[in-house]
Amino acid sequence: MALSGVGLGSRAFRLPRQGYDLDECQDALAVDAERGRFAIADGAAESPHAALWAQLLVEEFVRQNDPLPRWANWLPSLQDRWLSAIRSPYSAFLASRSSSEDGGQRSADVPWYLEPGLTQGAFATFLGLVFEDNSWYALAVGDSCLFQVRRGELIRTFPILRAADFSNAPWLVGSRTSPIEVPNKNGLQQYGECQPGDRFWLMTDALAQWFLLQSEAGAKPWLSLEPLIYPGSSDDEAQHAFAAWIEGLRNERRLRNDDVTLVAISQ
Amino acid sequence: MPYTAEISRSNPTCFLFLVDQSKSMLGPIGGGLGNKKADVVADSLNRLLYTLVLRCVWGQTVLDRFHVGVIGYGRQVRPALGGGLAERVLVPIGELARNPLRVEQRANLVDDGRGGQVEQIVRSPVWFEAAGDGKTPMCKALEQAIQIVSGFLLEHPACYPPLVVNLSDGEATDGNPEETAKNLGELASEDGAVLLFNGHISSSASQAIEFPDAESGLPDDYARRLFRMSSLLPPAMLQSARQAGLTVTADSRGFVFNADLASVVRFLDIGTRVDPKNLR
Repeated sequence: MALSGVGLGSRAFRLPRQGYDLDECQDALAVDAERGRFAIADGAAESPHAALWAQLLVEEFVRQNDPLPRWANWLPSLQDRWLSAIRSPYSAFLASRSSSEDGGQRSADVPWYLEPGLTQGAFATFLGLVFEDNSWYALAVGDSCLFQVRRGELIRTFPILRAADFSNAPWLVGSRTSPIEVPNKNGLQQYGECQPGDRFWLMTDALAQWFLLQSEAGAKPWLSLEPLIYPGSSDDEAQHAFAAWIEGLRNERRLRNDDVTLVAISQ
Repeated sequence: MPYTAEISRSNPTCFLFLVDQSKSMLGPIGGGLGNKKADVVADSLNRLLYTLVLRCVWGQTVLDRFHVGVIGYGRQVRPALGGGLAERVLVPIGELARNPLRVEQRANLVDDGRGGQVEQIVRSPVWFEAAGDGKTPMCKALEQAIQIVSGFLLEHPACYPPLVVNLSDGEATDGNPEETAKNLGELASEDGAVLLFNGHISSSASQAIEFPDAESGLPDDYARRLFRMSSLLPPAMLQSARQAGLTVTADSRGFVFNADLASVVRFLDIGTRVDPKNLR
């Protein structure tokens, strides 16, 4: 595996919805700039333990070696890990739910309101990006987005192409659904080439929608983002600047109030 | 823009259900041989509360994003949650989750992942029992709603506007509720006016109607009156309703006729939703 990612610069931001604490944020991100691997995910609000699932997805993706790992090769073990992590103290319940002939048996210890989430599993959108030599490879389920900017122009947009294509029920990767079925039907792959100076932006849906709206209106939204990641500022300063900027957009109602994740990568 | 405030622990909103418990509710729904209207309403409300709780589950806890109350109106107008919550007016959703009257088991059909369906036993909490006695003091119930919601707005002035859901067969016996409903709709948070939605459970055999945009197609005077009392669906709810495949227009109101109101809970934006259509 070529260490072509060496030299990539990156900065990452993650913020909860306005009014929520960071520990309620269901977005996740993972960065391994040295190996050129990046991932973001957006856990679905209606599934408890979705933040955990989103985190497991991104961490595992950046740990993989293949540019575009096959879902069937890495998802099953990840689903097992999700299950182990949430299992205690509900192992009896989950064991009974795994056996088809014994669907009715349950542990009395599980509060009724945790049961649907345990049975159904957790869900998240996913976007992974890998750099190798002069190419990039991306893997996506749902509406977390990648934008590639070169010499002041937006040259690639993946997987959502237009701001109007966002909905609040995107495709999702499940922690208890078939690892073959979900990604095969709804997982998208994309690759492209990169040149020195290219900037890549990874964003979860709310910010990605803002980005596309701006771009569709003829603006260059990355010019608003660039000062926030200015390499001369310390990470603390950058985080504060980003949080203040997001708050401003939300207060002006230009950004839907949702968890926000941004990873900026410079080639 | 109204109806965009965040619903969160630090800025919760309020759901207040007004439930007709008059004697006429003991009649059958939908034209003769169906279930009692009171049973249909109790079932609908319990499922609505179930859905509401599930939208607040975080890890192993329930976050208090909603405060919930149920007022029954029939022989008396009074709080109608049962068990440990009896006499309570507004209850944080976490407390509601932990204190149902009882938890029943129901068989649901679910996908088996191989193209078929299997029966799965699902636990269904019950907070509210069917009842039917006395007349239909809907005006008095709406007056109580004004008091309760005003109190909530004082404590949470920036909240997403409280939603009052009235479930009835529509035959108020203590006057014309339209005026009181109008007063209720004049209460507002900084984020917009209080919403009043009506679920009309009727003995009429007419077809179910969801979120109509005109009273002309409605089957009777009671339905038309409840329609007029109902708030317009806020834009974000309209969008969610469209995405759920419902036919709605900018004039659609929070009114259903012999149909389930549980969907309105799903139309509230508290983040990325899990749409069963999109899981596979």
